Amino acid sequence: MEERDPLLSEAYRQADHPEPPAGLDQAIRDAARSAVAPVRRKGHGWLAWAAPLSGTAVLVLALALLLRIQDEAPETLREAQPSSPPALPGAQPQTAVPVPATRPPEEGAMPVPQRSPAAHLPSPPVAVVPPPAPPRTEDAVEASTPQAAPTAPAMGQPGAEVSSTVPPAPAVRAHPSAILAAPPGEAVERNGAGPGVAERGAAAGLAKARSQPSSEGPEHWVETIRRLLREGRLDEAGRALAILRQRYPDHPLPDDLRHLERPAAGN
Amino acid sequence: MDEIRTDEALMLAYRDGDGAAFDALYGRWRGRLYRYLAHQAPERADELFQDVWLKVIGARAGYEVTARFSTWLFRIAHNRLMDHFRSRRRTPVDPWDDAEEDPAAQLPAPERDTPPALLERREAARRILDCLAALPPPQREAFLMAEEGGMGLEDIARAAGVGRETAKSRLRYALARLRRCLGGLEYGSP
Repeated sequence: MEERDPLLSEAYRQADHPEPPAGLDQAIRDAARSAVAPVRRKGHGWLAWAAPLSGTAVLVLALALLLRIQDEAPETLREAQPSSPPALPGAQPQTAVPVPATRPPEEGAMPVPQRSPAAHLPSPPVAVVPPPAPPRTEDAVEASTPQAAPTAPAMGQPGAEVSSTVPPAPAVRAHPSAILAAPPGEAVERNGAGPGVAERGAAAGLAKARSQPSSEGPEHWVETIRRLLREGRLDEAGRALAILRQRYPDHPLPDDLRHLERPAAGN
Repeated sequence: MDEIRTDEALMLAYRDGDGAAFDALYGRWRGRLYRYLAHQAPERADELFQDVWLKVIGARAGYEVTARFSTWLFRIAHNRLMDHFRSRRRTPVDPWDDAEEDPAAQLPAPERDTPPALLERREAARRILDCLAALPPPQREAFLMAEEGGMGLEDIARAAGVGRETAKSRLRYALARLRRCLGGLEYGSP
């Protein structure tokens, strides 16, 4: 049987049919859009919370598990930990470099206090400047060699052969300005003192020593005294003169500085 | 791109959140569905039309392709029409209660709507609409489903919730009545 009649269908299509109002179309489309939009927002809201909640849950579980293990079997954690912390880049291992105490005492007659391995390394530029005199160069060469590592005998240790070959000046000399920056008693004490005093005095005048020339002969001391006088620092000039006289007793004092020596001569 | 997508694909896209897919689908079926409703319940066509589309929107989440979209859409419209007719108690004898027989085919049309009177008063295009309005509701619905929904007997039967033979009988009677209503005239011409 026929399900369609083409003539009837054509007549039906040509008829004037009603159409839905435009307002109704818009209302239905808006309803369709709004029905989809809340689903998206709902999904995004859950997704936005899912990651933080998951992360928090994992952290809480991990912490709880760690605490439980620590309470029940602390020895397990201790075994799991390394015996020594991993070495940091640039860190000095304390036992990797042999310390003087581990070395055989074939060089020094006296026991040398233990020093860190860094003490055998070339010293950084500090107030302790290398001496300009030729004997000082020998000291420097010796200090750079492993055989001459113990420098303590050269700093006034009794019985050291090196001490008889060097001038009476201290093995480590500080710049005049550095010495003057220290208290007067300490400055004088430096001449025969051990390395600790010298280092402290040098550290005190570190800033000045870096800005001064490295020469420290008697002429330099004279120039320093003159400069102090020009700056009105009479006390320091007097101390510098005393040091000059102590170190270089035969050096002729210039005429312009002799007036400083008179009171001392009177005393 | 929406022009090449099937109705079912558009509905699936809308189900998944594509609002533009609904616009395309609505553009295809708005006129057809409105005519289907307006020729059966002209006084409430707007309300029914909106209700049907809102049901489509509300049922999107559970939509699955089990039949043609037109069959699904007209099934919703049919159910809404049934609710409308029942709520109005439109007829003392339910013309839709015709499981196997089609008594509507034997019902005479109203006197004022006889084909000769219509043919004399109205132009040809209006004639077929008047003839359509004079049809018993089940036959009219079957004809509208075939014309507006492009549905075959199987789809008409599924949308109307009847057997295939019932749908076939309704459609056959509808066509016969329309031809008789338009009697002697050449269809499409006044």
